[in-house]
Amino acid sequence: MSDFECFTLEPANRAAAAAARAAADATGVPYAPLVVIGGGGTGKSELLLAIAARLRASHPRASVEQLDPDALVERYRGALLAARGDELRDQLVGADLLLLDDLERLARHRDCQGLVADLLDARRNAGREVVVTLAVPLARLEGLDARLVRRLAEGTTVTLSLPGPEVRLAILRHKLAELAGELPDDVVRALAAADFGSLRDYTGALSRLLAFQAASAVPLSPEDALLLIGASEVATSRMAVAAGPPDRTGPDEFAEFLSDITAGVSEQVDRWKRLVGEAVLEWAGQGLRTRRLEALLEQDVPVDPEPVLAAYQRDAREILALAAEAAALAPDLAGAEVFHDPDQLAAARDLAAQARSRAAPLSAPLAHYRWEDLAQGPASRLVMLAARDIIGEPGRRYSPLLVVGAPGSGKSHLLHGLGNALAGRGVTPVACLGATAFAAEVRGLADADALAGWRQRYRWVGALLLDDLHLLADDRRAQEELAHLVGELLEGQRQMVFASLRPLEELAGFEARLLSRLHGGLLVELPPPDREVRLAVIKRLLAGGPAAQDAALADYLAGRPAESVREVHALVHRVLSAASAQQVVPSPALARETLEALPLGAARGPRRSGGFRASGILAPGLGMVRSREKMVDQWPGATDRLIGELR
Amino acid sequence: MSLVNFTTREITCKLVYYGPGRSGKTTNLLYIHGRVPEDRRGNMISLATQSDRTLFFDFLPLELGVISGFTTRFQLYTVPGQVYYNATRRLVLQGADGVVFVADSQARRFEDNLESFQNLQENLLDQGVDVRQVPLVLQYNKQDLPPDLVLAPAELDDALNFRAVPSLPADALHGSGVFETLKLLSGLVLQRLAVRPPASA
Repeated sequence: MSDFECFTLEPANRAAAAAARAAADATGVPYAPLVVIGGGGTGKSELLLAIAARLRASHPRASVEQLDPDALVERYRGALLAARGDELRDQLVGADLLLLDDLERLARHRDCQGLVADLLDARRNAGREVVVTLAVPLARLEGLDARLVRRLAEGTTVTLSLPGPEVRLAILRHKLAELAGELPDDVVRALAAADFGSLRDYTGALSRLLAFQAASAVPLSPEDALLLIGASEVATSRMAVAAGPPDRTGPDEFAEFLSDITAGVSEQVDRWKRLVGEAVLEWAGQGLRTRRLEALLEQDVPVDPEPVLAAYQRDAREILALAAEAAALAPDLAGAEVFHDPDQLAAARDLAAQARSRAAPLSAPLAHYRWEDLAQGPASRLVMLAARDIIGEPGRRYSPLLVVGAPGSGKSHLLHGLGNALAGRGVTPVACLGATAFAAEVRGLADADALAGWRQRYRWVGALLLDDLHLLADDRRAQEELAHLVGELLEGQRQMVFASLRPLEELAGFEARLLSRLHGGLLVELPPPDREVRLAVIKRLLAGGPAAQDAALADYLAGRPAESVREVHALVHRVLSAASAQQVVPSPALARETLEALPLGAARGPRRSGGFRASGILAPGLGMVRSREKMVDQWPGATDRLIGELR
Repeated sequence: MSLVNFTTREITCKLVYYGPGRSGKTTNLLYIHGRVPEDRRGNMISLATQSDRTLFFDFLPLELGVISGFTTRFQLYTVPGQVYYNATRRLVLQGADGVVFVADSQARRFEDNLESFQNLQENLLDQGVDVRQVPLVLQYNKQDLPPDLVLAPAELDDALNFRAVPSLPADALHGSGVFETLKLLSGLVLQRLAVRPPASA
């Protein structure tokens, strides 16, 4: 039988024992404090010892502070003298369990009463248990600070009374087993039936009888035992009666009934604290704020927890579902604070709606424009270098990047290839679209809600790549939205790349606000493809065909004049089409025949201004083509020219 | 009836003593009344005939004080045992949180016990109360009478306690088993407090 079972045997003490067990097991919310009231010798100190023993049995490393007022005062004053008052206070606040015995005796030490009140406050706030014993009811406490009395009254009060003969018998048997002593059972029964004022008298008498029995060879009789301890024989007869029919005049039946009811009601009503405490642990464990539930626990008077718990549970589940949805749609939103706080459900719903609107599919970069297929020549070295830096550190090096180049110079390939590379590096989502599509999206926004949703979609892109920026000329609304978006993305350090036919200085019909934001970035020119680029493009186009290894063909084609990659594509396709039509393998001869038979204008397309000017005059080393225009190998010297003019 | 009122911080339990006429229901209440301190009990209201038979019902309110922040009250009622007062029995039974069935242990009252117990179940069912759910304790009273006149608790259990609810012998006149019965039923009622669905809290 454990120490606690001794206490629970007495019906009047069951409530106290149950509360003490809960304090020792630290199950649920602390009583903070648990106040045990009982007269002298009712077993208060033994109950504290039993609590400490139970806690240490389950948690061997638990720190337990068990003090009576004298010991507390001594430690406190000693700590003050050593300038370690705060250290002692922290130690007592931090202990796993604080047990204060006979606290009414603190009336003699007013200087320590504030300390105890502070300790009760601090431990309550920290969720740590305090068990206090008092020899007098709270209402009869005298000489204690009002704040301290108030703190005690805020706790849970249980009473401890002197147990009846049957329980005393059980306790004495337990004590006898603890002491490993031997006494005849009728002697123990007689002792239990004796009329003493406190449990200490019974255990003291038991020790005396044990000592006497140890020194005597003759077993003690009950009569001798009673004589030894000075008890009357009347008690023995009462014990005999107690073993027969119930004595209706002895025990206070109503008090026993009331004790039972008090224990039952306390257990059931205090269930709310356990329920709320468990709910706090459960939901906090799932990363949710539990202020609403904690506020319940702070209330002095019990409240019906069910509606609050049910409402919190409903909100918490919705919050978790919204968080999961947002995590799937917009991972950067999943960690938002509102998704951890059921009290911010409305804000969480709004944020989830944003996530949904952002989840509408954006125009992604075209998959067939691969970054790996982009060819680099000496002329395009700068732009490719910038693009590589962007892939390495998106949003940090050059944002926005404005690529200016003639039609067909490879701007679109660069944009989409860069977009695909960024997506491959985990930048999501990547929006890559033409200015015409962008303007159409803006024009299609019918109302403010649609506009807000559209803005949300783009506000959270990982990278924005916009082709043909010059086509937004005079489209005020699209420019306004783009300026707004550029500002937001700049703040968010997102990568932006724009492609345009003309540099910013030459863009007409554009708002200064947008231009000024774009000016903050890097402008690079994508020149017409040089020979190296053309050669790389041609080799890629010939790869996989019968002329894949024909270096002469590739060299011939690369030497043909072409102001854009698009023209290079056209040259190759013409040669391949001719070879296919004649059912021959493409060769330099076939290429020469096919390409040089064509009128020059058709082969080269319209002339364009700017960039590399293809005069048609090519040095032999640059290509084996002779221009149809006059070729001058050597300019005449100045003297010859002068003579010629004089003639 | 609301067992726990969180708004007014009150717990009110209505316990009804049911059983055949002269089985000792009023005696139970009288004994309890005599043991409760004056400041904890209200006036016992008993409407009886000249021959001391309960005409209407007995009512004993018990004020148990503030427990865990709740003002706790127990209201003990008896029903008239005579067969022809069934309407009153139904009325008293309404909203009962628990029932003590006080059986007369005398062998000659065996049929009266069965009839009254049957009547209890009918009245509960009539009020839409699931007999299996309502807290119920069987008290076999008058066990102090000579053994040849009374049935043993085991025999009464065989006849009445087919639902295996708690039962105990009693001598209400001298108080034996009276408070034990009350405590047993109170415990069942309070347990039910814990398992009740939230909506009805």
